Amino acid sequence: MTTQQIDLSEWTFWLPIAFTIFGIGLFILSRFWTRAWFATFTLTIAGVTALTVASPFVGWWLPAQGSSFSGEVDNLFLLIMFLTGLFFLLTEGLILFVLWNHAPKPGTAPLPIHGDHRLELIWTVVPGILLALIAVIQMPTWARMKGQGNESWLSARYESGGDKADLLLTVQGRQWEWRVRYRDPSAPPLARPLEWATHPEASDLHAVNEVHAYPGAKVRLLLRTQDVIHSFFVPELRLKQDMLPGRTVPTWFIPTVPAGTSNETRWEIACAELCGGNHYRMRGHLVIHPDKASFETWYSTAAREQSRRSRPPETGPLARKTN
Amino acid sequence: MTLEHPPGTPRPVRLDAGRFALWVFLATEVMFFTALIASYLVLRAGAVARDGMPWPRAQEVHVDPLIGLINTFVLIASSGCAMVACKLLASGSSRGATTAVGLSFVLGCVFLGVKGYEYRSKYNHGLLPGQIGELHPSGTQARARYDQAAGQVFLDTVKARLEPEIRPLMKPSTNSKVASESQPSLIPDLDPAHALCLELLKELDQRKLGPGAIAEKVYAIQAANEADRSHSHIHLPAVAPHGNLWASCYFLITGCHALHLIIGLVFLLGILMNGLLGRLNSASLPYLSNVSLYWHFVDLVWLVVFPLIYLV
Amino acid sequence: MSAPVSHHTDDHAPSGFLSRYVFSKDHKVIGIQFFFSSILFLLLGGALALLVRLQVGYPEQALGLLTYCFPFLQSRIPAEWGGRMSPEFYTMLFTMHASVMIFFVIIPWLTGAFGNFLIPLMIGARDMAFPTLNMLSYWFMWPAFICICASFFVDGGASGVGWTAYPTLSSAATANGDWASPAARHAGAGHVLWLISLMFVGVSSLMGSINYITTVIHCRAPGMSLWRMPLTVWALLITAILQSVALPPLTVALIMQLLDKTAGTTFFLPPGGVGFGNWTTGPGGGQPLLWQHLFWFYSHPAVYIMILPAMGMVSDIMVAFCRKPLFGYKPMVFSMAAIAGLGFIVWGHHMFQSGMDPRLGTGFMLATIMIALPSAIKTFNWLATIWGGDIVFSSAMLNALAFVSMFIIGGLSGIFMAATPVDVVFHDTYFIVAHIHYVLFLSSLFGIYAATYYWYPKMFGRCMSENLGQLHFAPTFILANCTFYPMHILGIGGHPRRYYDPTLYEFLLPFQSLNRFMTVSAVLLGLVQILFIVNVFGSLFWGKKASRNPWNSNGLEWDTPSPPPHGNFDVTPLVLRGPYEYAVTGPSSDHLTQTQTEGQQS
Repeated sequence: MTTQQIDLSEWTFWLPIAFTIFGIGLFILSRFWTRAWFATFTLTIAGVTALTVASPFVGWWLPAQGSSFSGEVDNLFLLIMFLTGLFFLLTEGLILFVLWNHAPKPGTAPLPIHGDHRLELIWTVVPGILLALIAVIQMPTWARMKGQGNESWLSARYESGGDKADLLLTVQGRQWEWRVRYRDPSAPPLARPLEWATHPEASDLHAVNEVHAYPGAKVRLLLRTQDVIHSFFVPELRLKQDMLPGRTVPTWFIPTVPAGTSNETRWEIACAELCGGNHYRMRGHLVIHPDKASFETWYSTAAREQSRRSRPPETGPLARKTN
Repeated sequence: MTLEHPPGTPRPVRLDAGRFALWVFLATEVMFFTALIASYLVLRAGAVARDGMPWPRAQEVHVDPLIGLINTFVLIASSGCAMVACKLLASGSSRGATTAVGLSFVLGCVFLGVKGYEYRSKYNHGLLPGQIGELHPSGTQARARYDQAAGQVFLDTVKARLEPEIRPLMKPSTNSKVASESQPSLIPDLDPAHALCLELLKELDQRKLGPGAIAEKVYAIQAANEADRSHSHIHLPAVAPHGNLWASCYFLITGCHALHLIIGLVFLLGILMNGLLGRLNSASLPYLSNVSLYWHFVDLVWLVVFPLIYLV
Repeated sequence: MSAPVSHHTDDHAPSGFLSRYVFSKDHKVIGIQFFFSSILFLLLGGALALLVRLQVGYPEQALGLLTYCFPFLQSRIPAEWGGRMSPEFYTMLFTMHASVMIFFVIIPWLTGAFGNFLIPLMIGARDMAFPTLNMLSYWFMWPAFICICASFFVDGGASGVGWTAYPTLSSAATANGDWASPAARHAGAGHVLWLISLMFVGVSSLMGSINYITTVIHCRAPGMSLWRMPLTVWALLITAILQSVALPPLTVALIMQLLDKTAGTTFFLPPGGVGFGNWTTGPGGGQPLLWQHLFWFYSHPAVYIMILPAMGMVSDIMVAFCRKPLFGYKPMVFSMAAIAGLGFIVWGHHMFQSGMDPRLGTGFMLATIMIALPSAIKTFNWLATIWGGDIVFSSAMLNALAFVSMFIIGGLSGIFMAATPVDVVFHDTYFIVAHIHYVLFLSSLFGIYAATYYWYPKMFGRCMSENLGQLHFAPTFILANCTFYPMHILGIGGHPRRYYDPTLYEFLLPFQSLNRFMTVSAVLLGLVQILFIVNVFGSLFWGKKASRNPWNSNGLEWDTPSPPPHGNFDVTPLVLRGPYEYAVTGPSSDHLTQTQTEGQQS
């Protein structure tokens, strides 16, 4: 029995109970006080607002920014947060105001109003403009993230043409590990990198569950899967891309780390598409070396190690389910 | 509806409820077949674009456009009979209507029979999803995987087909199980097709070639067979580019259509029985015309399916 | 369906028990049948949800806690689980939770129960256009019920591939045609039953939809023009149209996956098949992505199928309890129509990260952003409706107010996901889980609760207990927010959904306390729902007898006795106006029902 391990004194346990009692209390209050329902709604709305506002200060927020476009994505997120937050406060505020007033002044009755064209026009046009703004403002970022923007080192249509990437690697998902294959960075660039994804070369470096890169490297990822759909997700990179059986899905990133980082940065790779029972165990690491030189040292060591073993590793550290 | 409307309040819709509901139902059916056909087109275009192999030609998958065309006319005629039945019943001739419905029913059955004949020939040729030899271009990942695993079933089928016909032609030294008296050293008048198959069986015995390569050989033999129809035919398993996807789509689409046809036939049969029992009168007209509308729809679907499956 | 419709033969209520309560053709009985089936499945779906939450909140202790609370389970736990729930079992829990809640609770409750019960009453019809078809639409649910319940007991257990059932995880079959899946333990016979079950649900919904559309078009009482219909009827009509257009493609997809699974076809299997260690599939040739397109072509409109009826009902409930006309009746209808129309061209927003062409993503993003506008218009209209009203804080009104205030959160969080770059972060994280639960639990289910409190007197002739109803509401509202709001925060932190044990990841460790908080809240939330169940069943016997019009509402349904007799109306009503004539100045009444002449007002 492991129930003893549960800490009943933790806030996570007593707070919901307190909220339940609080709710029942509000119900009892509502028998005597007409504004008890106003209080219920107000406290709930205030609670979720407070949680949102407080979260960043207790570490419940976006992961660190780790790629060339993560800042852009975050700014977009914050912009939408700001706009939707305004609407949230406005509309919820109006509801709360109505609940506070809950009845017309004594001696008056509700007005039989069926509509107001001017008002309706305003609340159609204003959100319309804001939504259009949101729609337009995100398009360049999306195009860039999907390799269709002005990243000159990526070909406009990624199915053809040569890439001038610093690192070209295939990540092949399978139940339940990431199999990584690097193209020798010193080898000449490929005219059709997508073909390399399905045609390994002898000089390729194989690894399992670890992707290595260095800050500023233009990393070209070719995603494949052997069995079911997986999704390559590194929260810090703001990168998530499904792997489709039978297809090579290209994506890219340029890792960034805070200036002056002298150690390896390790971020976790997670699978973001249900891929069977051990979906949650499909954990890998993205290792960002402090600079190009240390990456190259790692690469040559690993390559030497591999040629000594003369065979790519067959299975990763994760235990495989046996049928 | 039966509610009485006061004068001055026009009835909202002229169609009666049954007819209206049928139109709504047919709209959902349109969506159903649209999804089917759109999926077919997407799958087909995607498959062809992916590896450059063409979609199977009609003769490769034993589809005869002529049979399809005849069937098309059968169905149109059936649909026409249903229409005539409505006209006849409206003009008061219940006997004529019964005959027309009967004709429509019989023609529908003919269509289904021809369909069954076509299915049988697919079955005989092994043109079933999952059992057809695939022609993946060599060097692709799909080919590698096919050779490794997915194509093994196909290899077994080839062997099973060749064994009874070709094994006896082999020298006794290569196969001691066969009685030696029936073995001429090598038949001098062995026709080219048999010679090729003999070659194929030897290669199978040596286990050097993968399913992909064997499929290519079988495909070549069949192409040679087709070019020269003079010599005897050998039952090899079917091979076609994108053959399994083709078979999947073929059986799905024609099967769904056939299912709709069978449902229509059940309704027609009901009317026919009523007619034969002398219970068909002007009161049955709305029912007959609804069934006939459905029947026209089934016909219409076929008019879209036929060119897509048989011709394009 | 082609038989001529006549109710003259149906006018006498059937007398036998079977024909009256079981194989009934009376729309009210069928509605009530749907109502009770949905409640039963709500209990099942809720229990599954609690197990999911338990596992995520306490990954190490979940099973121990469970056997501690329910010792009789001890002997039934497979030994190979080794003291923890198996991860495969966990995948089954959330898959079946979603499937049950969507296909057996929300959709049948809204369209099956309320749709059936309310449409004829609200438009002044004696019954549906096709009572037999209506009966069939309920009895086609039974094969689905049986399949889905049986799937828990077959070899391999119920489906565990997510309610989205993406191939090749769901569809992979070994070449020998064995149903056991090489991809996952819970993708075998249970998943085949799941597919069959959904097909039956689809056929049932299609029958219902055709019936609803025909009934609304054909069976309206004299004077009930389209623009005099209550929003509930409008919403149900639009929903029926949505269903009849969206369901057939889903049926096609289900057939294709069923064939892939059982008959060796290759619609969703890539060329060369896929391999799983020692196992492998047959030759492929199809496209896994096609399933996603077909599935979401239905399942995105399905989101609106699950919210539009609630929107309509909530509108009708709110006017009755704030004693004011609905603000902007036609804009409300047009918004719903716009949501339904745009709902068909936004399905791709579920697939931004799927490997679909990114340019298509931009198109879907624009359509998705557009669909936020009619939702916003509806919200503002609701606000204007209650503005200055004389609010009656009944259980129904409280739930309706909760619907509006929570739909705002669910709607606004949708904008994050519509923004393609932001969706890269939030896709398949708890942010989306938060969003769907704000729309489906805190909106649809609160809408359903509101509608239940509001129309229960009409359904059963007795009122539900107001005290119990409000006692249920307060903690439910607070705890539902405690359970689902923190999921937004988790999603912002990148917490992937469908994770059996998030503590494996360093970046998720700081969030585990929130997970525990949500789990405790969810358990309490589940317990509080017992009050509702008690209220529903208890009020059948002990509820206050309801008058014809207990809420002083205007709709036609309040013109009939509670509960309405077979055939509904004593005389065919003559409709004189729309249902929103509240706040009129009269001698003793502040409202004009749809059939009242001005002089009658007393």
